[in-house]
Amino acid sequence: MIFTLVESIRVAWLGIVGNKLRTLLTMLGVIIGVAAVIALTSVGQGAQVQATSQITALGSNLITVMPRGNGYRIEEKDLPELRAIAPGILYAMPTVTAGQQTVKAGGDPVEVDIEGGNADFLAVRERQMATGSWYTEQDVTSRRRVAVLGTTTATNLFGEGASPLGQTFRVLGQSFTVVGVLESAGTGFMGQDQDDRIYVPYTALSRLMGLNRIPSLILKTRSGDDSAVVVQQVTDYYAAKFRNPDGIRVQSQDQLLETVNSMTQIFTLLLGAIASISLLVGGIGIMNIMLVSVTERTREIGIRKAIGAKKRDVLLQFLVEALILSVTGGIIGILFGALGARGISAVLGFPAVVTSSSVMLSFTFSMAVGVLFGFYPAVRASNLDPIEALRRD
Amino acid sequence: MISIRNMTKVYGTGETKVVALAGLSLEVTESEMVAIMGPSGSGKSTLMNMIGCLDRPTAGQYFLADQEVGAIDDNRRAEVRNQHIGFIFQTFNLLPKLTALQNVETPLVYRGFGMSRRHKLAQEALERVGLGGRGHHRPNQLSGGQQQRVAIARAIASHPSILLGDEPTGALDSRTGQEVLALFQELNEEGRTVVLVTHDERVAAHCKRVVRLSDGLIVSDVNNTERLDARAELARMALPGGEVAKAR
Repeated sequence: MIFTLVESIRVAWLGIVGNKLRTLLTMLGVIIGVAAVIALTSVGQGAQVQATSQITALGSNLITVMPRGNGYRIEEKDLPELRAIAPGILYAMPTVTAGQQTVKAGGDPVEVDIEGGNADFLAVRERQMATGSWYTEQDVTSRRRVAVLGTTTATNLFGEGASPLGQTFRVLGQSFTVVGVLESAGTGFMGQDQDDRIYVPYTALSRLMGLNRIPSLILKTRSGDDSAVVVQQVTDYYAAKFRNPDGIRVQSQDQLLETVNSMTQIFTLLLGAIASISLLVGGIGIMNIMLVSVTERTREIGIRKAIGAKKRDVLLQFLVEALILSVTGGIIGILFGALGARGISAVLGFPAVVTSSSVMLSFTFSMAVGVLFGFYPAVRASNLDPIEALRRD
Repeated sequence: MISIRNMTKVYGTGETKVVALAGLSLEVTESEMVAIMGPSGSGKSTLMNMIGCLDRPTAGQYFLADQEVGAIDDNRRAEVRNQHIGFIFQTFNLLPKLTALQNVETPLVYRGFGMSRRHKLAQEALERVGLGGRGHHRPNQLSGGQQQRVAIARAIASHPSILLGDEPTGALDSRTGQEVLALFQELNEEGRTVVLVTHDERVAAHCKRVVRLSDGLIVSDVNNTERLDARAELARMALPGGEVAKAR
């Protein structure tokens, strides 16, 4: 004598399609909740993907060495010592950056980021030249004012098609000669142009900026395993030098990825949690409507009980109805959430990644909401006394 | 078929105590057609709820089809209603969103019957009440008399032990009521046990036996020597034959 699930679904479905506007309004809460969860977590996931790809775009197996405070310095003379104690170091490149400097060639002045490196740049960053050549070790040691341009900067300064090789531009009151143009790295995330940059010997840039130390050092190793060893060796080196293990931060790319990932994960969770609140509100909406529905259909419940419906038949009928509402709302919400994610990514130029786990999670969550908030009204319905219920209009 | 022994039903306690049934006993054998009558407050509705297994007596026993059903739990009670009782209400109580056929099928759904078996039994029951062609109509597309006949089809579809009518003609005009009474008489003649709870003497006059209640006890229990024949009356009315006869 089992009132089968199929029958519950059929009966519940009749109840739902019988009142389309109310059904839609009831589902709206869940739709918005699920859509918000999907869209917002997709932004969080997108941030993670973006951060990861930005970090890996810098090259692989890199270690960043940076002082943490004013009392700690990385100096020129550290380099040979580091190479000696950490043979895993393939390349070591001091890096100086000067953001948004006014650069002037023939035409209008432009604002460009300037990065100082050394002759190992191409190997460290895994880049190629388009024309000309990278500046030499000789250029670095002699602090020669030579420059390699990104393709966008080359065009901005010297015009489309013109060869910038041998041309000069002025920045920070000094004149630099172009020796090469890098091959394009393409557009980064958020529409950031990775080709709008000028690369000069770090020695020359340090002098222009009046620096007497190396702001940061980039080391490259053969593999991730080597990186781990080198990180320890370099950390030990500076710990001994400054009698403080925390004076200089030595971080491998893997560690950086881990840090960034855990941060974006917290970000994603936070966004998801905020969005879940609206899903919860949607669930309360379902409970509200289900309670109204039970009251309105008291007579129907009475009739069904009189002709042989058991408690669990009535319970199942209303529970299934709540479930259909929440699950249908969940599915529609997932579709809208995915659309919303696309919209966000189109408008903000930000990647929004809808993961299968966030879809599964919000689907399960909306189902749980249906069961949770549908249960109380269903119990109320199933506990109605048939005599009382039949007396009601 | 029905055997009620010393049944009492008391609502409330202390000063608000109301005795609805005061040690009532009643036997109804198979193929009987009994009218239960009485003024309001006589315990007639309570007795109907008891016979229909909707309520639980305070004391006493109730045997229905040789089963003691007075003290069983709610689930069993629902099963007994489903298998042994065919309810017919004053206001039909069809489910408005379901078609006539689906309404007739509903008790069979709770019985656990499969789709094809349900369809077959429901269709048979509809044909029995002369509405074989109206299965796809919704209750609001049917007249009152037709709705009550759908309700009767729902009651007989699973071949219950008794048909239990609560003022089944109360919401119908006299002619349609007559048709419904004719249907009850036919079903009774086919061997079904019929119990009608009513305050209408004309309904009672169509039954073989009339039981009258007062203050929760039976005050009179007589067999109608000359019970009225609803079909004959219909034949005498202005339109000979009536709707029931036509439909069949």
